[in-house]
Amino acid sequence: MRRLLARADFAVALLVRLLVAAFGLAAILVPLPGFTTPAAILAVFALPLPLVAARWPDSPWVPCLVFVSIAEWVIAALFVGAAPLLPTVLYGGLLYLLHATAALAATLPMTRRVEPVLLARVALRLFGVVLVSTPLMIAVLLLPGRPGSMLLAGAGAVSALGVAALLVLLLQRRPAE
Amino acid sequence: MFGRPDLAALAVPFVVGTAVALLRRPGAAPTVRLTLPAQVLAEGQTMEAAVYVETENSLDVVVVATRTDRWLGLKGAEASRATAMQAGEQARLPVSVRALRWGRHVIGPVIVRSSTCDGLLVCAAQVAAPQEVTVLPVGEPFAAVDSVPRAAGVVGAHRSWRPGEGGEIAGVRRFSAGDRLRRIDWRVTLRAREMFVTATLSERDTDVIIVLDALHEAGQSGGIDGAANSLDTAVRAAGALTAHYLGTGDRLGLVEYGSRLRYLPRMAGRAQVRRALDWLAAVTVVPEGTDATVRLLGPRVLAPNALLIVLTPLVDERTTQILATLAQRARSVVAVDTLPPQARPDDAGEWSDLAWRLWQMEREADITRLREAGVPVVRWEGTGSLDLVLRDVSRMAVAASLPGAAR
Repeated sequence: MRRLLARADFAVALLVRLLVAAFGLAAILVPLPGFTTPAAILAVFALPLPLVAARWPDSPWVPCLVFVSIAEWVIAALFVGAAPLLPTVLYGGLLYLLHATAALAATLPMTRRVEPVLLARVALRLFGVVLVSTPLMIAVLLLPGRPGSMLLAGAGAVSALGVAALLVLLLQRRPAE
Repeated sequence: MFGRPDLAALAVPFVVGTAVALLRRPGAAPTVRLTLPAQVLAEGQTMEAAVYVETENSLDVVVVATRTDRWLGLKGAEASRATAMQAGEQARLPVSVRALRWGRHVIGPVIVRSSTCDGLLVCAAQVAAPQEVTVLPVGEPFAAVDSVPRAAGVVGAHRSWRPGEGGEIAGVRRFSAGDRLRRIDWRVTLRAREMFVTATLSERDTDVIIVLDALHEAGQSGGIDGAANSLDTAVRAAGALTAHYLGTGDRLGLVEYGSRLRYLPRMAGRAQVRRALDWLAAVTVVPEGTDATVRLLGPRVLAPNALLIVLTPLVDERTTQILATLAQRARSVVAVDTLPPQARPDDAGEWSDLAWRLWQMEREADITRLREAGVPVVRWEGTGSLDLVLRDVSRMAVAASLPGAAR
């Protein structure tokens, strides 16, 4: 029984890494325009990248994976056209989940016994973030204005500066006592 | 700018996630402490230590890693664990350790690494200082028949060779003033028509000095559950001998002969048992040091009339020479062979086996020479190991004390 429990402890850390691999694989596949033969070939070539990122979650392979995925997204949009709203929202959530699970996996070495409360809290937080982000993402995607207009670009720049200022403010504020 | 609002939309969860995480930014690092219910254990005993982690702020991931000496068996799952903590929470993480071998061992340090804000903020490692645990040796109980060569104290449990009040009959002698009436031997008295009394030997205590050869550690130690190496056998045997001789009221001292010379002065009583076991837990093989042979053979360390029990694997020429020298000085000395039967060097080539056999033959020859010189050599077998040789030593001590005995 003890050995079984020990294995279960090990399995939690493994599960987090498997999630990183799964989200990474999905992040490679989702931006491709449809599951066609070239997509499958690309997936085969891209398969090692999520596995490597899952094995070494605290390495630069994770940002590399995110970068490759976004590059695929941009290139696919250039050749096939912008993706519809729902896949874009799903893809945004997927990228965040990949980032968050990789951050968790980086702090959980494989030899550790992981308390279930840790996973429960992380899952709750991720769910909350995705839930709050979804309407905001839809709002951004449905912004009025002609694509490429200076007005939209200016609004985007102001929004970016605002977000940056908010994050700086949060970082510099007095910590919670 | 590129007419791609989807790229801005992809950044939204990251912004929200970071903002939510930073709202719970902690202000202080968690504190960690290690508490032990006891500092002293016996071999094979289990102890449940506890690691307390306290935090004032919410932490996403708290990884607690406990390191211990290899002889404090720590369950792998308990050695390190990860949990999450809320603000103001105190987590108690039990750490169960089992003392696998005698000695002074260390539990800790306990290292706590924590991160929060989705791994954005990582706290510097917090460390709880290691603590020392003394593991006392546990050997099989030892008992010996009452035979020590020079019982020379005042009162005690051993038969001495001096006449006096005791239980051991020495013969009959003429009645003299002061003799008790119940000592009169009526049969002899009637035959001789003169008063005769039964003469007895007095019972006295003795000095016992146990010398542990810590020049080398022969064999691999498997702890309490595995095979014993030479030092394990020596220390456990010394523990058993200590309990036996101090239990019979003798004065007992301990000497560690190695690259350092360490000794526990001779004393009697129950407190000495505890002192001796504590002293034994600190026995170790020091790789380098000065030759302690001259100091060991000096009168200050080895009392003249003490029974010397040398626990040695007999793998070093220095020990053999010391034993021979002691026998030459007519000291009551017993050598206890602690070399484990399974101890042998690693196979280093085709000549290893032959070299090993030659070495064994040389060792056997040395043991034979020691026996010829008057040093009984016996293998440690627990209870009754020394009975036969102690009788021999007693006889030799009596013979040596007779007038005209060759020195």
